[in-house]
Amino acid sequence: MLAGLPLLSILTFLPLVGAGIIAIIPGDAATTGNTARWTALWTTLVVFLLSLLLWTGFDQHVAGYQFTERVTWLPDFNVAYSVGVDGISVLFVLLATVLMPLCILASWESVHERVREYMMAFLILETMMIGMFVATDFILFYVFFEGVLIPMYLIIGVWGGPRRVYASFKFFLFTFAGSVLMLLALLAMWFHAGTTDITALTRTGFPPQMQFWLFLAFLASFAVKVPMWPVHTWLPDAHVEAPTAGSVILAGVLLKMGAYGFLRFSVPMLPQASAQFAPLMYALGVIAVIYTSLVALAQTDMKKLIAYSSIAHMGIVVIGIFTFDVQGIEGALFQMLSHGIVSAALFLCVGVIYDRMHTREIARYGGLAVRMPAYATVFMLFTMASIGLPGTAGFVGEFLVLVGAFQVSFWLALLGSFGMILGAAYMLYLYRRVIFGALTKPDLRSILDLSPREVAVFAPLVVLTLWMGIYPSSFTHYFNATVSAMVTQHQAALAVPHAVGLAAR
Amino acid sequence: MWVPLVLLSLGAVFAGWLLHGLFIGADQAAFWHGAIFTASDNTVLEDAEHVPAIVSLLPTIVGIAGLVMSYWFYVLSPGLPGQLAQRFQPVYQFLMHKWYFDELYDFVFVRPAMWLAREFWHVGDEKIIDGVPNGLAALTADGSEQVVRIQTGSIAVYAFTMLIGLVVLISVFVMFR
Repeated sequence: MLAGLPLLSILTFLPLVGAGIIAIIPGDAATTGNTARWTALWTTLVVFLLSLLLWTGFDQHVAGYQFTERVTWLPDFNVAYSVGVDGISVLFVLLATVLMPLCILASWESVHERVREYMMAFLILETMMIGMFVATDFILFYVFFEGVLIPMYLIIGVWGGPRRVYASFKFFLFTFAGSVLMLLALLAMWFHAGTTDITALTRTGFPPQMQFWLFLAFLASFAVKVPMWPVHTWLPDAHVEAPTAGSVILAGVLLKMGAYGFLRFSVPMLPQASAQFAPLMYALGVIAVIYTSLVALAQTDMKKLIAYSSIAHMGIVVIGIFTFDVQGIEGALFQMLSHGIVSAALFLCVGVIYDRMHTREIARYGGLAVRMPAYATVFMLFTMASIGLPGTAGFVGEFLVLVGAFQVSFWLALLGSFGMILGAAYMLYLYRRVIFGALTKPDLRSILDLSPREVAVFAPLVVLTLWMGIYPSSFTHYFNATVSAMVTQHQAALAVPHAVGLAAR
Repeated sequence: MWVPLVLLSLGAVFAGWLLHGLFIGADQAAFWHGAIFTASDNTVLEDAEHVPAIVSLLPTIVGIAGLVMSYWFYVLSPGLPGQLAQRFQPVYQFLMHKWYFDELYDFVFVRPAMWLAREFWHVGDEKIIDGVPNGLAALTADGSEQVVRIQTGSIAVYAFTMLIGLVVLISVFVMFR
């Protein structure tokens, strides 16, 4: 059934078709808004159902790309439209397709203005995200990688909070400045290897001197996306100003682009430089974990607190990737997936009470458990998952990363584990101030618990969080073969530093 | 409510008598079956049998003393604890605040952490890290405001500028020819 079906292209471009349909709906603002909502929901649901074919059809024992498609695009420059998924990218495609319908549902009532354009922006964003994860050509990757910026810039800048223009400019300029350096690196690699095919580039073996500069160029781009300390300050601003669904996608999927870039480009293509820069990456990861966890502790705005916690969690991911160890990298991947689910859910949790009270100030809440028992339960589950309680998704990734880090150095593991302690501190502190205590604020006395629509949004995330925590093998089996091959390749490349480079010439 | 309490108190009273042999007595090696490892030269369980009688009886004595004291304080003369607290204020406060451990932890861990958190946030993030892009943006805006003044719209000024340019060009050409 699957043979000959260009599944990945369908997944990538179906949302664009949905956006096109929304663009041509006739009628006044109220009717187009409603039709746009339903069209967007159905489009994202169909994309999600189709993406389940990836879940079932993906062969977990193959390390290389599957579901590949290749069409010559710019033959003079040896550039092709080529897509495929391997163990690293397949689950990210699913993460994007799972979160997208939830985002549409979460914006159902909270977005009233320019609904048509809002839904189009989200569908275009889905195209860009999926395209970025499935691209196996560097040029194609770059197009999607940059393309993500445009809809996200609009979502923050048009439907955001009071400081939305500052936040969207900051988001755009930070990420774009880094990406330009990646474009330079891309050109240099193309001149050296004569191709932009990712598999071919991985096999090329660049000279160590060149790797040094290429790594720095990639670092400039990916570090901003991760985001790593000290280029993280765009994230809290973007999160605070973005509408709820924008924050969900930003935390859930866009933050994974940087770490994905490290895994797809830096580590396999530049093994010597990666090994050389690993101590720097550990240092930046540890600083991110401790520094941003502490900053999270002092926050008075719920979204900003969760945004800072995201930076800390991504610091763990960076440490995991640069351990060059099967457990460390698998832990990093798992942490990315679990963070994608858990932080998305936490932003939705903030969105629930923001929709009711129109404030994110922690001090304006307190004692919600009395009026909102279901909400308090859901919020607690995701709080625990964010802390990394065993049995939830958050634990597995952090544990594997620390196991990997321990093999590098005891101190790296020790400093990395500070993130878990501080994580417990700031998340429990947040939860206590919002949920527990006496319900003294008069306007909270009539606040309503989760609506059926909100239950429908949270239910899949609750299931996934527990599933990932209780039986992580269903997910780790997807990337085990690819990561093992990657680690073997990395060690082989380090063992004979020059032979690979000579053979390629 | 009293059923679970009775069951628990049965355990409290008789558990030691019933399980003594298995847990720490003659049969303990067979019972734990390696779950608790005892080095061959470790005789702590054996030694415990030979302590002076007063050591074995001490828990019972202290327990009964506690019973007597609480009966005296809360049944015979309920006013006494209040008076004692009045008389020995410092001791009372010390015990009342759990040896001031929470305050100690607050002083040693919580306050420094929160102070550091605010410094990282307001100075590290807002002043230093954000200062660079915001400063660059301000510099660009201010700089262009200054540069804009050159564009006066007066043709005479433009012509003069061109003349200067021409003079510089010719001078350079003549000097480096």
